[in-house]
Amino acid sequence: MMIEELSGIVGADRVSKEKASLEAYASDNSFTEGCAPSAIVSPVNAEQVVEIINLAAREKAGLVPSSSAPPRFRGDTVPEREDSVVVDLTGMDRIIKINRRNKVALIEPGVTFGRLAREVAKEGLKVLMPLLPREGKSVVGSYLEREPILIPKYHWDVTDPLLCAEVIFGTGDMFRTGSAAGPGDLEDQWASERYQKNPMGPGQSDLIRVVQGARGTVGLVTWASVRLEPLPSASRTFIVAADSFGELLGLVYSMLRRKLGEEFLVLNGTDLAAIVGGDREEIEELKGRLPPWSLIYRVAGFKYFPSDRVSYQVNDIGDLAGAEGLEPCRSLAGVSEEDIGGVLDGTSGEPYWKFGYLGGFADIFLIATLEMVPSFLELMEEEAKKAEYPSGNIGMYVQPIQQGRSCHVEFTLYYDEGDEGERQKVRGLCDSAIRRLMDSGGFFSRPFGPWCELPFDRCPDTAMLLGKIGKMLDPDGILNPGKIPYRVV
Amino acid sequence: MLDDAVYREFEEVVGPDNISREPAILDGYTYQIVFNPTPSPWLNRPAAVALPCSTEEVQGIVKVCNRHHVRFKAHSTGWGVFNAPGYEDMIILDLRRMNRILQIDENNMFALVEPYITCNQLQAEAMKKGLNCHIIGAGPNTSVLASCTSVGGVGWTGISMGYNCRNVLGVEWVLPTGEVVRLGSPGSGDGWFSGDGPGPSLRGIMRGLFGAMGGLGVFTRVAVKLFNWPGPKRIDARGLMFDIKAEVPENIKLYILLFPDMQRFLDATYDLGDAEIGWIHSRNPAGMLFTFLFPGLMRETAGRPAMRSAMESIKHMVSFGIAASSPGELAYQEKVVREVIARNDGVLIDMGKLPQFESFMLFGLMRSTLSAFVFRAGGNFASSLVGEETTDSGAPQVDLGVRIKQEYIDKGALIDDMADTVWGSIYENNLFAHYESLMTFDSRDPRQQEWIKVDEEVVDELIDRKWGIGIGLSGAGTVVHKKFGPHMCNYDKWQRRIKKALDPEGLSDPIGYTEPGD
Ligand SMILES: Cc1cc2nc3c(=O)[nH]c(=O)nc-3n(C[C@H](O)[C@H](O)[C@H](O)COP(=O)(O)OP(=O)(O)OC[C@H]3O[C@@H](n4cnc5c(N)ncnc54)[C@H](O)[C@@H]3O)c2cc1C
Repeated sequence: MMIEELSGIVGADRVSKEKASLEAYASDNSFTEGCAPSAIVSPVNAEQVVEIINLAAREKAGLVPSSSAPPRFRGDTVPEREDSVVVDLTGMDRIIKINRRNKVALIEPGVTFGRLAREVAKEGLKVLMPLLPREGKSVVGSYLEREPILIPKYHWDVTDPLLCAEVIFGTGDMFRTGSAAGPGDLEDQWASERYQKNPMGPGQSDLIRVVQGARGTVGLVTWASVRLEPLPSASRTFIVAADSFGELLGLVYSMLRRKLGEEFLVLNGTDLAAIVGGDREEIEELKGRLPPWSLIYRVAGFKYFPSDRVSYQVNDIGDLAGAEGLEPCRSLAGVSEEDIGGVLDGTSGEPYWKFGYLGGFADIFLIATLEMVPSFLELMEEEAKKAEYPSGNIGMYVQPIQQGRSCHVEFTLYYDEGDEGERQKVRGLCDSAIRRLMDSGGFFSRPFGPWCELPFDRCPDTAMLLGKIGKMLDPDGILNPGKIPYRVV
Repeated sequence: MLDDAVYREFEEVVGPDNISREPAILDGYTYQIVFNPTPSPWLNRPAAVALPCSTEEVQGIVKVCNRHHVRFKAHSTGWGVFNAPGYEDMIILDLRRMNRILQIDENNMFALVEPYITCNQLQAEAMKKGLNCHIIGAGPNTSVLASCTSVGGVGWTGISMGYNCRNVLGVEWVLPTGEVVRLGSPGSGDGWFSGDGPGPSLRGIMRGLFGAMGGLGVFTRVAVKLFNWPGPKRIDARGLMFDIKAEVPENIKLYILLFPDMQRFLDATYDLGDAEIGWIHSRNPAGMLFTFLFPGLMRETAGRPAMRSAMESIKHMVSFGIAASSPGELAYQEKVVREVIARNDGVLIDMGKLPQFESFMLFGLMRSTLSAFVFRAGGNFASSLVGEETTDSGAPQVDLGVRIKQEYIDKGALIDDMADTVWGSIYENNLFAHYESLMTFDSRDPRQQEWIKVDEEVVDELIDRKWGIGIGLSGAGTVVHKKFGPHMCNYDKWQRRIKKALDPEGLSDPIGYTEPGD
């Protein structure tokens, strides 16, 4: 599309037609098939984004928003139409405001986890992290994708930790969600001690909920406020080992019920080895040593009597664990408290941690209740067996969300990067497993990769309503076409 | 008037025993004094009322409405003006026969309820399983579903159990055009644990800070979050309201916290939020409590300078509660609250030392029975403000609400309750705060017909000063949209479009939401 017009909006140096850059978007680390975009445009402010959307609407061209640096996963940014232009938002990377008292930051989409974490730590605050995001991962991008965060007690509602946002809809209208809508602009709001903290509204709808989870098909976010929490003044991390996930279930439920612990996640031995191990040999060796399942959590204290808080929680958790015949440990099979601390606070080193084991990987993720997880594990093992894929190579990560009312379940199928046969085998395994997991009650709330249509086939009524709303917010269907199947009736 | 043939079609859906057009019955749906801005307590008389007992029957009625272009509105427990018919010639769906708790999922902490399950019913059942629910300040008699899907969501326990908009999981929804949609996981037959997706969450269309007040169809089921309850399965209590006597469990503590000034109240609130302690937190100013508890005494003494200055000195009063799951947690939370008080020059009164008062306040706050007391002073009440942003942003708003209210008290248009009855609570450990300025009056007194003017003046000033929202619940709907829309990204335009997309004929009563439009 319209290179000249795009250049007119952002300047010629912010529009790229360079083949290698375009080709880099044609595929990603998922099985998504697509094509290279026709150009990449890099706006620096919301006004330019508005103009780009208006231009695309006139030309009926597709726009693919992208906020993170590569490598990319899940197919969100692989264009499905050749006329598409990638809107690269990584250059919009200002941390506009950090407010300690109200524990909030206002950031542009190009701000990454590592950078934000460093900046807010200066104020005694912490960013709510997903599990080891890659170095260039956009905070706003991650929260818009509803990636789970590590601290379930701060995940009150599905939108968390995303609060308010400035969005440019497919109509070209600029909108601010939640209390950021007004009255007054940001400066006026700050002057009256309002810090874009209330995520609801404005009025009688919550359009941020529609923007989130939409894979860029509804609007482009140009800034967002995000919930931060205090950095602990004292903390200890623990691992509880188990032979099966089911053994941990009682403890997991009872801790979540009482909001005990901060970071809180369950990993199988393969994923834990892939995280803390270095190269392939080390990971293999660790896999052999680590327990099949580990519950990892941290307890912490804050401004008031931090060690009292830590010690009552340690005692209470110890009692709950004891009742289940489990024992929290500070280190396990050579994995130290420091190793675990790095996992809970950090971003992934380079290369991204999932590449470390065998070079290639494919993810399957869904949400379910915690008690559904054991049956999914069995199902995965069965499917792996059928596909002649070694089930010991499946990484598993269970992250409680919504304060424990459900959980994100993630299977990572590691495979030899250079082996196309392996890759195809894993693709086939993904296909059969996803269908069976769906049939068994797994809810694919975040459609991904080539399977993004499947969840909608199961809920035609929702798809119909979504079609009406999609049409309202992006009437020309220009925003990331194909990534959410809006079914217009 | 409904055409007889149309009436018969409705009758076929619910059966002749479950529909009526008797004027005496219909008038029962029109008398509403609370938040009613019109001079008459009688609102529009509907053409009929139907009592469906299932989603299929609700859908059947909505389909007949669509065939014959009849407006309709859902009615769950009918508390306040919002359920009143916006027009004549419409049909009310009184959902009192849909009164089941369908599921309490103990492990995953949610309940699935129908519209006529009230907050106290759910709380009593949840407590048997060690769980609790957030009850809105409107009282225990209100519908859980209505608050979660269609109205507001503030209450005394927001610090630990949040705001009801954010407490919703799966939802079953009869759209204005008659299709049934289940939002989230139940839409795919996967249980009720999530209300979001696949893809974008349509909960954002269902409601926002406020619900659509019956303007977007009928909700027939909602899965609502429950929270840990460390208390007994049942708290034995004798007596009612004031006289209630209950054994307050040892792991439950209730306090009054007093602060010398606004700044120290604010600082302490931030500290309590950061410390992540507390089950109940609510600014219940002295004027408010006295008006609730001793309205006669208040009437006689409010004008006396000694009384005023005494009240003034204790107006920054907070009710604070702890519900702990272990002795260690109880000791920790008590230690923190005492330290917060000490650092902020406050006074802590342990309600445990005042057993009768403690019993009364336990039910008042936990079960939200306190709200009924608001009617004692004059028979009616209303509120203004509703600032919902940071705790700090409420401070000047409180002053504003009090100043404007005092002018009306001075001319006799409101009952004198010392003016500062700004009820305020924090949500999700102080993610945001809600401040609501209560006013009491006697709507039979011709001088006391002006509360809506207080609302309007407050709203105008909030807009002029760019201080924030002030949509009292009384003001959802077109009047408020016209005021706020231009200052808040024209959100009302999107609501009109949503209405058009879902209800092009505007059949689901638009009065509390909006007409369809572009
Ligand atoms: C004294 C008093 C105090 C109050 N205090 C508070 C408070 O502290 N916090 C707070 O949040 N609110 C408060 N309110 C307002 C309160 O939110 C509502 O009164 C209450 O939630 C709704 O009442 P209800 O449950 O009886 O529902 P109803 O009155 O039956 O309905 C309320 C609205 O929701 C719609 N509705 C109801 N059921 C459905 C359904 N199934 N499908 C679609 N739409 C439906 C109705 O059409 C109506 O517009 C107060 C009201 C009063 C009278």
